[in-house]
Amino acid sequence: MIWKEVFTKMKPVSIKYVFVESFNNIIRNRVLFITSVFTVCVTILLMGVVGVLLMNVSYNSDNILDDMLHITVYVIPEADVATLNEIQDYIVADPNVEQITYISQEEAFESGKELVGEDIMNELGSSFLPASFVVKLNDVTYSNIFVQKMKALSNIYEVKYSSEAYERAAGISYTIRYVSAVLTTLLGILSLFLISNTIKITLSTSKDEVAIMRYIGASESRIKSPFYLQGGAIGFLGAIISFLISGFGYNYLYNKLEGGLDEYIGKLELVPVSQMLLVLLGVFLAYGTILGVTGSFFAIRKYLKV
Amino acid sequence: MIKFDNVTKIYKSGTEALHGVNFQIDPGEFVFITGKSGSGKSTIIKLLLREEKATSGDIFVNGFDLHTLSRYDLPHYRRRLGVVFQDCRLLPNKTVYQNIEFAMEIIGESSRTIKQVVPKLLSMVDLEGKEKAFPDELAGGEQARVALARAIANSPDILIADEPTGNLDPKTSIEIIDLLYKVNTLGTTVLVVTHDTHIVDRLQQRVIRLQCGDIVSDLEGSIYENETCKY
Repeated sequence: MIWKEVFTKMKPVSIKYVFVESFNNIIRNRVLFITSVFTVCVTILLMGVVGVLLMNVSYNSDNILDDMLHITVYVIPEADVATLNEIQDYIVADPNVEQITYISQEEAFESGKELVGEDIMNELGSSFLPASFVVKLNDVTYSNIFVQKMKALSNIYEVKYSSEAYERAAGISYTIRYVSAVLTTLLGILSLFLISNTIKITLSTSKDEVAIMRYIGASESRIKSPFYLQGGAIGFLGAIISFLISGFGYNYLYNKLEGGLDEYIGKLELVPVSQMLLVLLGVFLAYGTILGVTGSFFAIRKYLKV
Repeated sequence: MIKFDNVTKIYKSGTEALHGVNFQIDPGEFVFITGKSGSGKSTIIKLLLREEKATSGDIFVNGFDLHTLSRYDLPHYRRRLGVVFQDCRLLPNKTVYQNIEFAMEIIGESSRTIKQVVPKLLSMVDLEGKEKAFPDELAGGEQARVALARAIANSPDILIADEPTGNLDPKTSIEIIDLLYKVNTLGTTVLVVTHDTHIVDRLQQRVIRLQCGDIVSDLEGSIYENETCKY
């Protein structure tokens, strides 16, 4: 078969060729290339700002939610030591319990003094507040079952669990994530359109070369790969630049706000710089490059007939 | 070998460009395809380059069935062809050397081979010393020579020339057609589509004459005949 004979003569696309051709395309359409990199950079940067905000909100909401996972089990004031031990053993035996802290009547009384004042507490008496177990679960979805289990026990005075507050907080966290997903998708579509348009223009300025390549018998991969690389380069460079800007920006803000936040917003804290930079670098590079190559793919599929 | 077997081509617009055309060109032949505008010459080129597919009938070129040729095999097929266009289609931003080099580079020839072959090609088409010139610095005949050198750079089995002398004066046209004949004597099948009477009469090779999509004559050692389209 002739095709087999010819096939054996086919040489794979060299990396050098792909890079040289992509570079030539970039140089030829440099203004367009720079514009596209800039636009992608702005898009990724916008995404980055939203991402940084979300990460910090999520970071803090996790802390807040973490606090909400505590369930307080109050024991009747008449309970003796043996009863308390029995209840404690029962709680500890549950595999979903991560941590248990016992608060005696005396400790509760002292805390009450700090909260409502010594005079009021003295009037109420040291046995007014019951002893309790503060339980932290390792699985929040288990909370309701655990609460029911505790209520079913004898010698239990009350079980307190702020499920409503937890659900509200979880709802806010879900909304933030949902909005971020929609926003990221919309910005992604915009970037795709821009990259695709750049590659389309590059294709139109390279149509003579492409026509000659087709007639001479260049393989599809040889014709298409420089354009894919170009799209990838737009996304990659856009990602690098936006990473540098957002990285420096975040570091600056972190240093400015760190320590100052307690003063204004209580227990809120920022995601550490190193952790943030690592996430930004990975997400930006992956997102930018995939975006670039996908943008090229759409333009090539539509405008490049091989 | 090129074989057209009862080939008909009707474009989407409804224009019937070829009606049941039959011909065969053997390896090493030199063939002119002549005819007026609209006679179907360009359609034959498009079918041979597989830019278009025949509406009916079969086309075989060097063992490839162009009707069933897959997208994947298309580049393999095209590597067996060399093409010279009337407008030369040289890349304006590349020098003479780079235009030829480009054709070899894109099919993966090594730079060592390119360095050996390009000077020989330039010598063959009498363009020594013009390596560094850009296309717009060349005369029409010189551009045609570069296009020819590029077309034969990858040693094609078949050289297709579409109106290669269309923009040239008679003297330059003869130089180009002599070069095409030289390529043919080296073993390449040459197919020249033209309506240039001078070059057809000069070489007196096989002439396939088209008229309104039909072959009206297919003669060896022929000269150009004028015709009027009956449609």
